[in-house]
Amino acid sequence: MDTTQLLKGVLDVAVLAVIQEEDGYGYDIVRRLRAAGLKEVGDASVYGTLRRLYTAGALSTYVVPSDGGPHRKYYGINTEGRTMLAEQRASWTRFANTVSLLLTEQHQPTATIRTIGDKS
Amino acid sequence: MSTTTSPTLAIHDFAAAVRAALSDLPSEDVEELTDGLEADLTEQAEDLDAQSFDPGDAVGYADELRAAAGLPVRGKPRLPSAWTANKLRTWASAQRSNLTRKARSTAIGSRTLDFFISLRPFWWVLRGWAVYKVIAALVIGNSIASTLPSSGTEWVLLLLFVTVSVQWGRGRWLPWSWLPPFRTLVSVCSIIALPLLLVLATAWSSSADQYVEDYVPQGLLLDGNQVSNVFAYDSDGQPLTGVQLFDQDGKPLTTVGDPNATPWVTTYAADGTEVILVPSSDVPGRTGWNVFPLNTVDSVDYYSQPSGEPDLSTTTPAVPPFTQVRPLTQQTPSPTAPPTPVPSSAPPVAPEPSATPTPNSGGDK
Repeated sequence: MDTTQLLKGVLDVAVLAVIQEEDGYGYDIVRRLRAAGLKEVGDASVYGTLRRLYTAGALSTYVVPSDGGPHRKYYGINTEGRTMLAEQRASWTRFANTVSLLLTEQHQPTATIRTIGDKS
Repeated sequence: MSTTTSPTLAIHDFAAAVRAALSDLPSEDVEELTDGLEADLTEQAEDLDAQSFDPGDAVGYADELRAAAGLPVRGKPRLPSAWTANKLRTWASAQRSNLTRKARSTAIGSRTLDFFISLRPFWWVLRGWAVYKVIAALVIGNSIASTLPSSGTEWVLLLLFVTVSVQWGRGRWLPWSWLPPFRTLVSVCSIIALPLLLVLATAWSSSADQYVEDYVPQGLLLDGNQVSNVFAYDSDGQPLTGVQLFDQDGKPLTTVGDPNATPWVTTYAADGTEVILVPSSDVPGRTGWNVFPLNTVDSVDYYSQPSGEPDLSTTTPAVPPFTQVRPLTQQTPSPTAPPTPVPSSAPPVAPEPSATPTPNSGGDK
């Protein structure tokens, strides 16, 4: 299965979940997502997602000067972002459960629903 | 992309290429998207083996950036109308669900929202009215400064628009796919037009108030109070009858607004008794309204008469407020001083006007 396609649908909630733990700058978020197991996540996708979530009002930003290096733009979650995360977490859980159940049922077909051509 | 050159230089080149690939976007968006790109790439290169770090295809990277950010794809000619409409719809529905969620998050907000939801039918009617007003003004050339229709056709039109608006509000009568967006357009226009329409309608009703305020009472007034009869006394202080009065322009001075159309007037004495005044019968027609004092007729039960009118044939002189007043004297130091009324000594015949005069009722108001 092409996990990059799956990732597209859940990148928002994944980014929000990572930022909820601690504020972070662009690559920091990428690193944390990859460390969490999403190895295939593209850094450009994460930067774009951060930008979009910020435009949608779910994130706030602030600039942190660093010693010697360039200034880093940090992203932090706000109330709206937390609400969004809670909603998306709930819908993901529902969705994941539904799909899991569906996939399980493929192995143990029940006789409750008969479809056309069903011989049982 | 060379991996043998300095990674810093490669990253700089790459970032520049990415920015170039995004150049069709507003510079603000490009800035926001690529702000800190070099720093991020440098860090990424440090995480990996710096020498083998290859950021890859700048154009592909830029496409990934803009796709994730929800920005339009490059090269695709922007269709401003479709793109903007879609964007606007997405934005509007997002705002709506956001607002709803925020409102529902508190008990007061939830209750307020429910209150406004229960007001929706009122809004539907108001929208129908607004459309009616605009259509009536534009098509029929109706005056916009009125609240309700003045003719049957306009009433039918108003009811039609209100019905359609209410049905639209209930999600009915929308057979074509272009109707829901059209409904939104109508709603937006109504919201914009309503304050103006309401102000004009209000201006109309306040101008009506103005008209009422400007109404000039007919007849003769003394300090704003209606004068129903006039009593004149001669220099000896004796009451006069048959006095013809005219104003400075020679116009007969009367206590009624339209003498020719007024056979009699009903007034009320201070004690509430009804007094019917008629013009002098010595003048032909009804033009004797300027001959004072006006005579009275019996007002008893004229309503029950077959004619429904009082019997005007038997008139009696009105009883003056004073039987006599102080005579004028040549020795009076101030000739312009008003005469001091002398109260009537004999009780007047009741029930007649001014049956119980007070000493100052004639000179002091």
